[in-house]
Amino acid sequence: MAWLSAIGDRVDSADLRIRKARDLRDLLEGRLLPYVELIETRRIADDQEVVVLEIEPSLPQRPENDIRVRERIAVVFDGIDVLAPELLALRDDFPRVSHTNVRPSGWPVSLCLYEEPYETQKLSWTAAAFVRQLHRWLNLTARGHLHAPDQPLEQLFFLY
Amino acid sequence: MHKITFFPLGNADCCRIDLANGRKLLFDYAHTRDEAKADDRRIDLPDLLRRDLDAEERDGFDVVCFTHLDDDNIKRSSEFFFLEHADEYQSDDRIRIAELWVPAAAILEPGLTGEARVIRSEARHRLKEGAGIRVFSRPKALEAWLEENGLSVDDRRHLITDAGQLVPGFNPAADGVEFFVHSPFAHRLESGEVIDRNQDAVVVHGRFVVDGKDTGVLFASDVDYEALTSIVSITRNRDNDDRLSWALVKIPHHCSYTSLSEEKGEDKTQPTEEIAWLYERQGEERCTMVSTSQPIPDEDSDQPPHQQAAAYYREVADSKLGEFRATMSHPRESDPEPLVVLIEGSGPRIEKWMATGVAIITGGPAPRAG
Repeated sequence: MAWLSAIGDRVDSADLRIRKARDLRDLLEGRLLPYVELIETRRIADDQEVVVLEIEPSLPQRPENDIRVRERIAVVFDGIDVLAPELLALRDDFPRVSHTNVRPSGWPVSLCLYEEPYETQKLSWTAAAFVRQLHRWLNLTARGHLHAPDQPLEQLFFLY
Repeated sequence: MHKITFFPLGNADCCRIDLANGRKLLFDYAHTRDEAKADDRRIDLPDLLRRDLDAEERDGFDVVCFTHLDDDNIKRSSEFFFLEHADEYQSDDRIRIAELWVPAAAILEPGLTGEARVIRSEARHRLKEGAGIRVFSRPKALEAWLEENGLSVDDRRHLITDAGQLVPGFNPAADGVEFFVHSPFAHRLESGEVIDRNQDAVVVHGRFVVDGKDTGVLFASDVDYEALTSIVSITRNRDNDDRLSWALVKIPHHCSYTSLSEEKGEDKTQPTEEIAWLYERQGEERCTMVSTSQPIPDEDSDQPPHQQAAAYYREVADSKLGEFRATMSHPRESDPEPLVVLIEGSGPRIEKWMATGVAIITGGPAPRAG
């Protein structure tokens, strides 16, 4: 097991410019939530910023999916806030499970936290709720309970 | 589902077992919090236990086990429990003990004072009365004491459980658990050895069953490396290896190196061969190891927890993709909370709630994943 490097250049966390990236940084540096820790911050060109965190899910001894005690996740924020923050699992052998986004071969697994479109998410988005949803995603994926019984099968997306 | 809760009490013990069928057991009770210190991060144990009992409209526990009579296992228990041997411990608001479990040393140890003397009096009273007690010992070790009190071993044999036996009153079909006794070894008392509380403490292995799946839990009290090495040797000699198979272990003696070896080691304590077998071979993948202790220090220390011992336990946990936790740093040192382990069909799982310390506006149920 090894961690993949997050993309972008490392920047001081105090130099983050994107509001939601700063919100997440403040939450993590303030140690306002347990089981999650800030690892580093990065910038991609001038329009995206990355917050890398480690998070500790609640794992059964015999999980349905191979989620580990500590998972390292890169959260990529879009500067103009049109795209939902993307969550990339940086463990090189993170499992390909349901509720992940289709990405080109070789990319880290991209977690899909929300069913609703980002325009709707934005109305109530907070860093704390976002991290809590990530925690919930990992907890339920480990137990094989993430997919709701009445939820339709996932759609396939193709990137052009 | 069963639930096992370890309380953050510093280097002290209290573990509550909530069985799926509603029965409640408490292993040790040490109310260590100093109310005069506003910054004392140790939990208010009596308050938490009372609130839990109140919520379930109960007045006590089915079992309270004092694994031994050291202060860090019994502290202020005489303020909390209803004790049958003296009126002064019998107000209505006190917590009842249906069955008291103690090692033979809690009956036989001479010269006790303070809290330990009170618990000894209670244990002796119940044993004389012949009800509400179980003593862990070879019956013969209690023979002289019973005769001094006008009783015989045959009179009380049904209240005495020796190492190598299952504890009566619990079985997988009715309770989803059975307890196998590993310690104390009665031969130590029979051969006239001076009572050593840690060596003569109650050590049991719980086999919890949920949805037809077993989860082994080792409650290792405060035994030192010699006692633990003997437990392994005797258990293996009797082909009872499965009674030392574990997915969850209460690490002995607050992560002291003395529960692994005679030597602390420079960076890591190297356990005896038998203890290495216990942890490295008998521990299951993705196991959980709990140190009921202060946070693990970054430097060498005289008192436990010892960083060298923790280095060994962490290495075991990491090699098995498991977790090592110290109660006073769970979930974090600044705000320790009870460490709750759920025993489900998929094995033990540490409960981790993230909603503390910060407001989270959800506006309804948790969102669904996309």
